[in-house]
Amino acid sequence: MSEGQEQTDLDLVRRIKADDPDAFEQMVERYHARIYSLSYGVLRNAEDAEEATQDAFLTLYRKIGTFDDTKKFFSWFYRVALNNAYSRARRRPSLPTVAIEDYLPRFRSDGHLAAEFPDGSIPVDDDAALRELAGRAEGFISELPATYRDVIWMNDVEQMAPAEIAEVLEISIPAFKSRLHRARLYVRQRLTEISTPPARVAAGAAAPSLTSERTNRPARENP
Amino acid sequence: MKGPGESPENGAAPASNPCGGTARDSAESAHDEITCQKLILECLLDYESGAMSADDRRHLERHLDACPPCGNFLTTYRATGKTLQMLKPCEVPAALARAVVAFVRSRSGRE
Repeated sequence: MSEGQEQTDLDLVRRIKADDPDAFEQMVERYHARIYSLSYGVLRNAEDAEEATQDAFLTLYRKIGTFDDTKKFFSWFYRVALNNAYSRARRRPSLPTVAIEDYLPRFRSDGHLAAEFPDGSIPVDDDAALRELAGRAEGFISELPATYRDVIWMNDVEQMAPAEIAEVLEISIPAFKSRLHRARLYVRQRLTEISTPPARVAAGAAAPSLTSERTNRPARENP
Repeated sequence: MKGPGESPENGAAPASNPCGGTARDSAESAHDEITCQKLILECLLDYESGAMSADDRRHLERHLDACPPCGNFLTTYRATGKTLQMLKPCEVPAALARAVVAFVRSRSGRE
């Protein structure tokens, strides 16, 4: 995070506590984009995300005295921003969320997949189609319950490190992985549903359009 | 913040070799040791992220090679990952930093 002579978060925190206005501006410059993006992930609306970002920094300014300098600043501030966004989200009419279990794969009692998948097609070789699907995927993410939505948003869109996400959300790494995987399974199911031509479904075609991908495993998988 | 029905939670996963043979599997042939359910629900994330030993990977791949539905599933799971990679963090308003500083200054006053 630090570049050249840039100060550490903790340096800035100490200067903000000492009422240094330049330090506060530097903190805004450093974190406003990430806080905006984090807020947008929860609120899904630019105007709300902008206001939530302002509120998060106001809270930072007012509550900085309560921050324990021995802790990591970013996780404290991300929690502040997340709570802020959650609180703003609660004041709005709530949007329906999906029951993720309804979209997870089903298995027979012996552990085998319950049915052949007639939906095994996502056109990954077509960039334009993929971009369109990505837009739909964002919509599917927004339908997820917050516990899943925030994990997949932070990991796959914000590209935050798993350890950071687990710390900010105050969950274990196994819980993080479980939520991320389930969220991806949900998005996978929804994407395959919308990207498979009805004729193929009707014909019960099970072969994916990407069979070549199966053999495209990382080299170290085939030592 | 716990999600409904999620697992494993708080390190509840098997301590080691989560995708390899278990006592229950040991009597079965090597090709049958991993079920579709175990592969898809418990192993796929680690397999795709590279967080799996070479032995476990080979173990999993024996199932993948012998099970077309799981092969299909892996293909679409990877395609989903590729789709998600195309999502970019949302565009941040150009004047946001200035607006934040002005907003906080207008309301400054610590608790």
